[in-house]
Amino acid sequence: MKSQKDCNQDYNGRPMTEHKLAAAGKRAPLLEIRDLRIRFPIRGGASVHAVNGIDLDLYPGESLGVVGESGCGKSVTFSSVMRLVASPPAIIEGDIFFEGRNIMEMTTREMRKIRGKKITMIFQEPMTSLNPVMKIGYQIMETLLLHEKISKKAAAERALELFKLVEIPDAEGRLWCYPHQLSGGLRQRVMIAMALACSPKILLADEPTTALDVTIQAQVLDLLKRLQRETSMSIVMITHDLGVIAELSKRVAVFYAGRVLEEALTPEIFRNPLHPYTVGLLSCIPKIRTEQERLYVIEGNIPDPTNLPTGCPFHPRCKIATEKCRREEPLKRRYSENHYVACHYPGKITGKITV
Amino acid sequence: MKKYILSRVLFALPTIIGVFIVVFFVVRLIPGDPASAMLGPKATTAQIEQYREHHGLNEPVYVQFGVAFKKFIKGDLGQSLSWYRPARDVIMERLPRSAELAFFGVLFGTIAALIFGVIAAVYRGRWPDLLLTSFATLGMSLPMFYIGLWILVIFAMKLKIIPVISTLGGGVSYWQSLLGPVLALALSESALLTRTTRSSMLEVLNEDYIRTARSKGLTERIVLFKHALGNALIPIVTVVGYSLATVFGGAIVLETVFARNGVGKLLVDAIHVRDYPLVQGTTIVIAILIVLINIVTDIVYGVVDPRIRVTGEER
Ligand SMILES: Nc1ncnc2c1ncn2[C@@H]1O[C@H](COP(=O)(O)OP(=O)(O)OP(=O)(O)O)[C@@H](O)[C@H]1O
Ligand SMILES: [Mg+2]
Repeated sequence: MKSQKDCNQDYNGRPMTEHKLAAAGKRAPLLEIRDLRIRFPIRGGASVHAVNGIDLDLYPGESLGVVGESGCGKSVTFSSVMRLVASPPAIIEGDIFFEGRNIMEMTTREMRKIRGKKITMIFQEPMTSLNPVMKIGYQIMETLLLHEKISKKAAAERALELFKLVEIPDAEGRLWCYPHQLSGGLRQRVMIAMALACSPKILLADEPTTALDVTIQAQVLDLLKRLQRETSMSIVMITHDLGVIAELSKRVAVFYAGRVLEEALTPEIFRNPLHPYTVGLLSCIPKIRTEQERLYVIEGNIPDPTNLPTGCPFHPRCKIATEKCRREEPLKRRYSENHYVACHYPGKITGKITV
Repeated sequence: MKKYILSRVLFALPTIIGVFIVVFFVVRLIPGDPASAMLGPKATTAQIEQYREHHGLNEPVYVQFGVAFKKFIKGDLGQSLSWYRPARDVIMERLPRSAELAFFGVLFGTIAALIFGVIAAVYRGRWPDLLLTSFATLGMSLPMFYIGLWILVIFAMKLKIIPVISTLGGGVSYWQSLLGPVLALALSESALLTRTTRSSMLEVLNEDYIRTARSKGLTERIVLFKHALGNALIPIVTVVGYSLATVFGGAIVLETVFARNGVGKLLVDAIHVRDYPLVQGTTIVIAILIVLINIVTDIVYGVVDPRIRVTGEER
């Protein structure tokens, strides 16, 4: 367990901000997640430990990829950035700073001014994320009318522009449709348009393509890629798919059991993965060949979040786990410039990757 | 849309004719004779015979049916046996009294139920929820006349703000005459609807689009009443339609409890004196109203839920 003092310092003991400033080319982070812990109490006094001490920064204009298996706490972490995780029942600890202010201490009123305006989120399930009894054009106008002082007419015009921006064919005709009249891919475009409405600082994209079929996935990814090039917002791309990260994100954080196991620039992670889990994830990508092809497969399942293992959360599945791994939790430390890892034996399993 | 309504009306015709046939024969199964009920115990056999002859009650039942049915097709409900007027006129005169009771009862009952149901859902498992759901259960289990009687006891006898007999005139204002029965009806109609609203809201509040609405920065009030209730209304409309259709049953009871001259009381009185045409007429008018309410409910359904909007309508 880290002490309170450690939270404001990096793992080499220097004050966090100063060090991070250096790492990111002298820019202050837009979003800082500090030792975030979220659990959901369940019957019998136990809890689902969804997030277990996450530290993560997001810089202005940056695109961060977040990968991890299902249930490792990706959605819960970033929903809590929007304060969308209902507490109670959830028990949330830690701090989340946005533009230097602690989101956890904001009033609901202050938080509402951030939601939908400065930080927006698109969700995993495009089919069910739009209100089925409201016209989609109106759902976009609603955000605009709420956060910007514009007339209904101007909002309708802006909604149409946004539809064109996200390449919805026949935008004029589609504006006054109901969600059920649109395909999943189009609905996700509407969600993206809605998220872009007020030109947010941060877009949290929670597996925006998982529910779509492959060709539509590619189109939506292309759209996100284009938007990322053309706007200055920071994008957090949450996915299971390292291929998506390779295409879209400059930096990656690897999530496992509610922790960040490894964090590095994207090319670096592909070239030189340090954590055995990351190596395993990479060797799962069929297109990419590792030196120990098929030798390194992650066996077993993610740990039960109500009963997490001691020490390193990955040790029950790790080929090189030792007694130390079972006993002592490795903290996330710096390995090289822009490369952090939480492993007692970083780089011991190498996965030389040729993309 | 017009086509749809027309077809619904055409399909309803057999139902209404069926109701007419059933009621025609069932009223005649009730023991007792209209002539003696009407003329009283002092009437002579000759007077009774003359009355029966005059009103065609001596004809065989199938002949009587033929006559009544022919008139019914033309919109004539026959001559009342207990009034010197056509049954239709009497019913039409009383109908507004029942319609206003039904309308305000269901209106206030629905508004109260929506508010109670949303509150119960938001405070699920905490005291406001427990309080409201217990009241709803109580309201569902108490018979309507019992609720009516308690309102009479409290509002008419203790507080003296409404009359014991809710007929107009004699220093009783329109609203005073309505208050008691409307309150009773609203309370009892809101019971089931509160529970429907609560469960429907609980379901909707877990939906992804509610999270989307919150993520836009909308206030909780707008999220609840616009986004959530807008969707929760879909099952609610069915229940409101159902209460509107069954409200006449309640009206019959309440008009009797509050001595209010509506069609409900008219029906009860007509049964007492075996006024066959009036019983038939009242029942058939209520049946037609129920059919119309069902059609309107289905149309409202389409307004509330765009996904089931009637086919044939252009976008
Ligand atoms: N409201 C909740 N109540 C109880 N447990 C929850 C709740 N929300 C999430 N969890 C649990 O928290 C853990 C993390 O969930 P989360 O949705 O963040 O995973 P994820 O990484 O987004 O997975 P996926 O890739 O499937 O979306 C899971 O074990 C999940 O069951
Ligand atoms: Mg998720």
